[in-house]
Amino acid sequence: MTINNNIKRFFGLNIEQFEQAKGIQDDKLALRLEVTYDDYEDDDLTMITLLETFSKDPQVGNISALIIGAWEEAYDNDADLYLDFLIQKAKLFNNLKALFIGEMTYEENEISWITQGDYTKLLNAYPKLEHLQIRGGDELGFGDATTPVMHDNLKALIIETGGLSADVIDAVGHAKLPALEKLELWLGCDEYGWSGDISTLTPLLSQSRFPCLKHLGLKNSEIQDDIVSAILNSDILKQLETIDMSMGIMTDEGAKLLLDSQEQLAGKQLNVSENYLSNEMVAQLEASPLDIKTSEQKAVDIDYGDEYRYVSVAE
Amino acid sequence: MPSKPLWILICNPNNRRQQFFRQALPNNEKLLTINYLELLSCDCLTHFLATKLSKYDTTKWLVKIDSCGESFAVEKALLTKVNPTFYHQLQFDKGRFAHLADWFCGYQQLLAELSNVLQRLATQWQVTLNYLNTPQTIVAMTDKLSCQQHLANSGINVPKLLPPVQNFEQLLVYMLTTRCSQVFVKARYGSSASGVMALRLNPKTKAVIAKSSLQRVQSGNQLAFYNSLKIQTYTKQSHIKELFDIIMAQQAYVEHWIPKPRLGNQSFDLRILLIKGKAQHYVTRCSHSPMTNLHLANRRGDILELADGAKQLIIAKQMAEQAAQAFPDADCIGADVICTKYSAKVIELNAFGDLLPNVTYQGLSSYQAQVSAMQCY
Repeated sequence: MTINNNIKRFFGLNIEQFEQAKGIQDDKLALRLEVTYDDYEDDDLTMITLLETFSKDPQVGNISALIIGAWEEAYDNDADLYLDFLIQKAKLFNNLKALFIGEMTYEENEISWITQGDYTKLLNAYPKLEHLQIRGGDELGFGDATTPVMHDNLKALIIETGGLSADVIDAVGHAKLPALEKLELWLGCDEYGWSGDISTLTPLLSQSRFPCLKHLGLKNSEIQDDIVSAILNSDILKQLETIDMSMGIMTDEGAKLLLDSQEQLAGKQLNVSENYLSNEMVAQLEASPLDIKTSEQKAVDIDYGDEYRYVSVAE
Repeated sequence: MPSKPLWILICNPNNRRQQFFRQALPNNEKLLTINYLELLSCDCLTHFLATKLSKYDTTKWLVKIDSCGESFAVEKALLTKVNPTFYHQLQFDKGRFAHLADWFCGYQQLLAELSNVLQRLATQWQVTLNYLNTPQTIVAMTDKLSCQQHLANSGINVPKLLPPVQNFEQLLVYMLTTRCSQVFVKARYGSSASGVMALRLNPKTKAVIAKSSLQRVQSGNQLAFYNSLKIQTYTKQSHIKELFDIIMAQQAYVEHWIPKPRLGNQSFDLRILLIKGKAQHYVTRCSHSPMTNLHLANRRGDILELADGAKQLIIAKQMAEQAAQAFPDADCIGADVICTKYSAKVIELNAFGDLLPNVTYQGLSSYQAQVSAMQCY
């Protein structure tokens, strides 16, 4: 599985593809900037030029949601250039509430090859930001224990990767995000950057760190079974409304823990789709009182007698 | 009164293509079906064709040469034509990716012989000889590399071709130095998605990732690749190199991999059928993988679902029509086209690209449309 489609809506808004020649058409929509193969090969367009044009548009101050899609040579050119630009020009984007950096599909780049940037300063520059979404974990910076990210209004943080490093997860844990309601991390596999274990994740599962958290996604993980157990044993469980554990390597063992914890999970929406649950387990989950999504379970790959299981999004 | 023309279909008889063509033909028309296997097994082609054709009193031959694919017996006969000693013992090995270059050589020879004999007989008997696609033009399109080169030289928008490379290392060096991060390696004489590898190189980490419909099968020391319906992902450099080597051994070329546009949650390209140079039927081919060929169990979509789909389709059809002009002796071409933001690129032309069941254009199926075109010869 790979990411094949661009998002259709962002921050609850329909999306307008920004075109240099036309300028912003509807400032009520989420604006998407993208440099296609043709833009770059034939017209020498670069993302930074596109951003500059965009920032000069008279309506840019009204934009609430911005998506940066594919940029040229994103496997080598990191996102810092754009993050720095956004920091410098923060005054121009004074209504910006939602930002997605790296919204590209498999046809454009491998997710593990998207070269990200350092978001530590970006959040300071945008105190009104509510939604930050990042695709790609390579060269991703999010502060650390000594210089934690701090933001009073951020409600949603989504980091989608084929492999997320323990350093970034630690940094997210140390971030001061008192308003955070949604945290979604795609953890991925070790070949593509995942360097943690369950002890990397447990600090995140704390009421005192994320007092407002309602929606937790720890997904696309090789240790999906351990994650089930850690969430069930955490003090944050009580306040959660949705728990997304999809796209990983959850086996019947992990799912069994959910069946055994029905009282604790009452009223919560669970997602365990795209894992490795047996038909019998799916039937049991479906028959249980749990509010749970179980679709698209994956089949084990058998090659010369060896069994292989994969996270949904890796390379 | 002029006599009725004789329709001649050269094909593999068990293929559904043959039935579709037959069904498209008006009832009272005379059709002579000639099997590839008969052509390949007769002792003397001239004698064989003269005997067959002499039974029909006509002044006009309307010839369609159809695909010879999907028949092992025909494949073996073509290969044996090229190298009898080597291929005499060939056993059926389903899906095995092998001997494409020899196959092409045999097919090219057969079509040349066929063309010569038909021309000679036509002259001798004062019959006009008309092809839907001439043997020469079929050969020209079946050689995908020269087809793409010819299109590029004719000013058609095609994916950029890389200069020839000798080996995998050279390809990687070329990709690094020219900052070309993703390419398709394509078998020169492949059909559909067979023998295609989508290859990516990360210039920073030097990591490579390849996707292909070829599946690596190792038993003991024997290594082979087989066509598979499932797209395989390769991340081990050694396996990718093996795959590259095996495609190169059949003759291959490398071109830029242009990201395909999206429709819903899949990427797509268009198969556009050109009848007498005019874009007619089209199919929107959707896929989760870089290979959109329909036989890989992919879904049909409709480009018109896109907000500017109608505009994109017009641009794509224009590009396909321009490409068809570069092959004036082909009156039935399947062009594979990808739409880019403001333009379109032709990724392939197919001399047998007319198998588009359940699609009509102005009320005619793809086969009815070609029959109607041939009636005007």
